Amino acid sequence: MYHTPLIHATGNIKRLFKLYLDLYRHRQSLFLMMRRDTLLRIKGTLLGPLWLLAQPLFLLLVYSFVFSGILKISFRPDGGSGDFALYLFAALVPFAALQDGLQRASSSLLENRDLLLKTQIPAIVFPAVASLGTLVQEVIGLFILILTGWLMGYLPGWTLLLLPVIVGLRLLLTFALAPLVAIASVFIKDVGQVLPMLMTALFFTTPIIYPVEMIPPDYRSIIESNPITWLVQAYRSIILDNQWPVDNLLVLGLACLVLLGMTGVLFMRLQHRAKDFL
Amino acid sequence: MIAIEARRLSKQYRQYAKPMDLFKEWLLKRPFHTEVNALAPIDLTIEKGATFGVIGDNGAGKSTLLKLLAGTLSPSTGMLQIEGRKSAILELGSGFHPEFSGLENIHLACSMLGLSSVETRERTPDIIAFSELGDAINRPVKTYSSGMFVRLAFSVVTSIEPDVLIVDEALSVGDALFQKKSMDRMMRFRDEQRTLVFCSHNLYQVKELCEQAIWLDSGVLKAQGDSATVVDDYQDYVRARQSAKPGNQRGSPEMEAVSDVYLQEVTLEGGIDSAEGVPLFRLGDPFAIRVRAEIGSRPAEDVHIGLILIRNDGLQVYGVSTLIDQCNLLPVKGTTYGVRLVFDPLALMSGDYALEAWLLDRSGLHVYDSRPICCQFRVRHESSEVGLVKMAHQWEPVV
Repeated sequence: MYHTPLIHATGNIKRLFKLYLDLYRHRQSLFLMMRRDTLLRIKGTLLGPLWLLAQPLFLLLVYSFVFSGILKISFRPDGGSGDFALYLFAALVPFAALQDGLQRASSSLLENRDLLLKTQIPAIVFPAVASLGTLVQEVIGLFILILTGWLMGYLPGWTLLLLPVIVGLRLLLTFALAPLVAIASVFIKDVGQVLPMLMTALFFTTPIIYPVEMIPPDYRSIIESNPITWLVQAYRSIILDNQWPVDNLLVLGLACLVLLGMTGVLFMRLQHRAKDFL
Repeated sequence: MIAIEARRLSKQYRQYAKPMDLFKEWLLKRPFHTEVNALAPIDLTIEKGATFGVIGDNGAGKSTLLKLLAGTLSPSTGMLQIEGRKSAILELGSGFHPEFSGLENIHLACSMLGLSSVETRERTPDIIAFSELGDAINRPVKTYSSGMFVRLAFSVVTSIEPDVLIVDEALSVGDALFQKKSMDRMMRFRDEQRTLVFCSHNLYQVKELCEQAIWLDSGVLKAQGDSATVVDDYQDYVRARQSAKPGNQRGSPEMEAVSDVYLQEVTLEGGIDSAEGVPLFRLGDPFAIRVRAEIGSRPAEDVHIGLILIRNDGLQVYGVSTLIDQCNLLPVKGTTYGVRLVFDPLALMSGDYALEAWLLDRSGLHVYDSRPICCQFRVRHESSEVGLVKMAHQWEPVV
């Protein structure tokens, strides 16, 4: 007998609304866990909050040396290694936040098994903590970036006012993907293995360590249609170039909202079943 | 007013041999799982202010039911309605974050239970005080002992003053003093007309604390009603099962078939007919056993009757014989002799019992005839006393 639960959907939209309303109701738990997650990573360490950025800062050093020092790649015609590092960092900070958020979201349900099975906390809180928690490291990173840029002569312009919008968009994208990876890794253990590979591929196919201009015309349209490209280019243009970003961002915003709805529905439908698998 | 109402509430787990089966099922719309029935559809109505016990063997579905009530599991079928704020302590280590300190877990748990940060701050000192954790409250809970864990958990779930409190077998790990404290707090909840759902292997606690109870067996509701009756029925069942196990049967003495000396009749006097077809007695009732035997050509002094009261788990409660008490069988008619053994009042406590009857010679070694298990009967008592027999006692001032 193939059985269907008696409790039926009263419409996906209504239930989706309830999913996010639950999240809002539990905002205090969300905040406590976000704070705790952040504190745990830096507690008792010498560098403190810098550890949140340890990986991007380390990559920044290595990539600057290899790609600017050895391969002589440059984002500006007259730019040196310092300029390269700034342009790299402007893209690396949001990308690292996205990557970190998804990585943590993929293990969020498994790691919080106890809370999930034994308390009334809604499951969506855990991918939300993983994805929204990345805001802290991103803000610290951007602060360092703007400050260093200023010292190096990249004076911030009015376009910087748009930064919260861009950061919000990055956060929305992470939060839209987080429920998907979280629920998928419960049912398919392979996700935990595949995700880092996918992220590495995404890292190299996004113009992070090289400028868009370097891409051969054959591939250019493909790479330029990558939404992550739009996102990192927007960070660069408003922080370093003082230019209004491309119009694609509105499309990206709408796409993120649709994606959020879709992953939300998926999460909502599978979350109870997932508990049997944990 | 009804606090908890469940209609056709059930839980089935689907077990997949491998994760791919889930996708096969989804794509092919054909079942690829085995279904585990954790809880068959159950109807429950629990009044506001009621104390409700859940008993049964391990794996009987008690925890599943409590998790459904607590809302941490979603039911496969049915509907559930709970009025008012509920909080639950389920199993050991209920919902604590191992890396968080005790204090942080208090904050987290309170926020999960729907308290505002102001309310949480107000209640925190009480919670810490009740948990008796002292300075350990600032250590991560992963360093806690199981006793500390449960103390913290119990303090938190009861401190928010829930309308419905759900407690799963959890208190057994606390020390005796804390158990007493938590029992007192649950008693207070009961007096305050809060609803309590309580599951424990400590049947005495269930009988004492709860007014009503249900007995679950392999996910199926086996009995429901007044907690004393349900607990007694369950205990009888457990004992019956134990005595049915091989190896528990005691060997019977050598028996010689003597055709002209045999037991004619062993019957109980009094008792009410119960539903199970065995007579029911109450603690304190008059109780008598009537025995008649055919002694044939034997002299009356050479035939004695022994009777043993046996509980259904094989325990011999009391056994005595006319030989031990130095009295004789009296003639009834012809070569039929008889005797009555009278216990007034009956001192037995709740349980299922039976008799063993022996017809012996004057040495006590030779057995003419015997009835291994006969005259099954049931005893019930209403008070909260525990044990096997009511012992004569009195309370006296301490000098």
